[in-house]
Amino acid sequence: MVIFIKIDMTSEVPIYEQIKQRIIEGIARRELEAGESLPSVRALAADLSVNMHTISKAYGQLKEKGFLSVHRNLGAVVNPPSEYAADRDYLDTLALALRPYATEALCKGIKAGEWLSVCNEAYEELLKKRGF
Amino acid sequence: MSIGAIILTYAICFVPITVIFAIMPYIGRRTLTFGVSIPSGVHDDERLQKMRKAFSRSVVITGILMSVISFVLFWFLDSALAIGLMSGMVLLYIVLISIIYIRDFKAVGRLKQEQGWAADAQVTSVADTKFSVSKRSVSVLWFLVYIVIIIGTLLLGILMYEQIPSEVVMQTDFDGNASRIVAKSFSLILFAPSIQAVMALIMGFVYWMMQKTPPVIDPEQPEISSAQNTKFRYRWSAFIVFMGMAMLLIFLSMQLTFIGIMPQSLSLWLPLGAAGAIVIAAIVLAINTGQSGSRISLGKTTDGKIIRRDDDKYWKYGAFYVNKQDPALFVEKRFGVGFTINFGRPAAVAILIGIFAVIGVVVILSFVLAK
Repeated sequence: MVIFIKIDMTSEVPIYEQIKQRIIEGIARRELEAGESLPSVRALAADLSVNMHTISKAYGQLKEKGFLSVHRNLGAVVNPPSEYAADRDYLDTLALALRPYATEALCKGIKAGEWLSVCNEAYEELLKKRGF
Repeated sequence: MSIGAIILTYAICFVPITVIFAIMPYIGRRTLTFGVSIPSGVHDDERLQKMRKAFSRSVVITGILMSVISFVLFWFLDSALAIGLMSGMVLLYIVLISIIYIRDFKAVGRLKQEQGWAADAQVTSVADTKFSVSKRSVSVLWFLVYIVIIIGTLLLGILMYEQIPSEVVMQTDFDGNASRIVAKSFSLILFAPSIQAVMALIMGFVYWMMQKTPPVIDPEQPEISSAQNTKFRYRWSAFIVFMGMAMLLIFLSMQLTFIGIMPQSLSLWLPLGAAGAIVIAAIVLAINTGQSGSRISLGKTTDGKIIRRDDDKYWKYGAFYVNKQDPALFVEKRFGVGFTINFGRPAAVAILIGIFAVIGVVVILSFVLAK
């Protein structure tokens, strides 16, 4: 399936982060299946006319998270779900990452139920795009 | 020179250049005007429309003036001198057009600044992750036909060597008189195949370059834009492959003329006719596709405020791309139709020098082999 990687050059979110998020979203929404290949670092950098380091960084972090295998010549290939299945460590990281958001929500007086429904909404929106 | 020859000369040189440059402001993307990136929403701005019209008008008027001067000059000169002078006139014409272009390039840049077109625009860049596997060229196997033609031309020369007269006409002027006669030699039959081989190399290079150049995807409508890019490349790859083939066949016909199978009278009109047909086909195709397929209608498109990669700073005069950070060797041109190189990459510059070297070799070959 064709996926478009669209980056906003004026955004405060770093470009490598935007690319990373887009690819993870592609996998979450099943636009990218296991075994599917992504453009090489050089090709994607040329397509977006950004520095190659930017793409390397995005791919490197995706590889670390288990989403991609990066081959020198073949480019990047999407891993099967078993490679990035959630484990204890992931849940710990997730909890840690959510902490600042939860803290701010608490400050602003958001109740636990409300907090949960906001989280659910974000999650279900992705499921909807998946077509379930 | 005779009046017929002058008109012919004029038609070959000035008319196509005038047409090509006069339509240029109209065949580009909606996000670019005179090499300056703009939000597509302002493309039809009254001032920009006026500038496009004025540019085309200036090109045509300058063309007419240049032709009048050429007419007068050619009338008094003999054919050989006139032809030599003509390349100078054509070059001068292109320089004048460049001056007009630079004036407009600067004016659009100022307008963009004044109007704040860049300031309140979102700047995006889009990649199509499956573009590299899209069907965007005719089969590379067509180049096998090239090889067959080249070998055929060479074999024909070798096998029919006996039939070549002791002197052959290399060139005739527009009045049909022989202007260059050379003695029969073995290097004579190598002439056509050598030129063919160089042409095949150049066509192969352009074919390859068209595959390698990263597509420019319009962020407002990525699906349509990507499909337009694919169609654009497919059509132009077909044009390149078959135009090259036609040129190779012209040189095959030259070999046939040497051998005496084809009449000498055709040796002037066949290449001229082919060149004319190629130029007309290129202009029609350019109008038909627009830059990177921007004129191929594939659905409803919308204009907006997004500027695609506001990289004006990397485009000197909107014409020369110099970006060391960009790994792309080739990029889409900003004015007109086609591709150019990234001067920020030494490999791309080396390729450009290589092309010039190849063209240099052709020129030297045509002198050495057909002395």
